[in-house]
Amino acid sequence: MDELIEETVLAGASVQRKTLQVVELAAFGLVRLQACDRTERGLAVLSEQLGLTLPGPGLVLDSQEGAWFWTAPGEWLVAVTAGAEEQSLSALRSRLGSEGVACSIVTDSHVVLEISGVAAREVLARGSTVDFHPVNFPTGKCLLTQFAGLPVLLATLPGRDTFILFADRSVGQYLIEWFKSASSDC
Amino acid sequence: MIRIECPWCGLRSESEFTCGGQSHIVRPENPAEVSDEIWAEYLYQRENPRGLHRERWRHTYGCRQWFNVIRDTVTHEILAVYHMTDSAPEVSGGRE
Ligand SMILES: [Zn+2]
Repeated sequence: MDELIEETVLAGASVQRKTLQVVELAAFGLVRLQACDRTERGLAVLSEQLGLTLPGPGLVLDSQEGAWFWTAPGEWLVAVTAGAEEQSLSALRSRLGSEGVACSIVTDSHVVLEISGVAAREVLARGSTVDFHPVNFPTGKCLLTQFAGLPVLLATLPGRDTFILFADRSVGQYLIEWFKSASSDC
Repeated sequence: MIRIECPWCGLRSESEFTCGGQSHIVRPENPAEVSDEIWAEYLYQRENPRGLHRERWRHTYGCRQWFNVIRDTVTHEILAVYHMTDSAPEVSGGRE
């Protein structure tokens, strides 16, 4: 087994234009939390157990663990340091108690892209009907949408003007090709 | 394309959603005891109004949640959006 070379989804494939850069982010390990009780009361209890205020629709929270992205009512994706998933998972589980929340590692089912450059917002707008104007898509926001025909999670981390895109691992290469053809003028 | 207000994600384009047809259809409580006519009505008969229609939509490309919508089938205007567990609100405007 140790003869196998550890490879990321895109193995270095990227888009490098003057005003747009798309690279694979392999720095994240991904953990998903799904709560049974999605009532306000249930979520308040969950926040208390976790010792943080779980972000609501459209919001990102930076915490000690990593960044929390809202993905559905009662569901979050937590981006932790790559390789630290098991550790984060048991830390979360120890705080949560045993019932009502499913925690799972989903790193290997995802590809994560970072989109940056002055043309980032314009090129992203070519793939989705979402409004990417900074007023409507400021930093610290996340949303699930249809992008280049696919379901994706798009986010900006608090205080950083680059976009992060989470999608199914199998579409990574397609997305790189999509960004290439959508940015020929960049 | 119409724009639909997801109760969680806010205003999004129709292409992110899937329409699930007429809402508030109630399954007869004792299927073995109802007539074929009532059962067939439950399975196959749907409203086709020129005007207000209460229907289910799912934010397929977003939060993946189902919810209800009251839409005017003539103008496509959406007069109300409400949760699956809520009963249909009274709305004014549109044709009944
Ligand atoms: Zn939604």
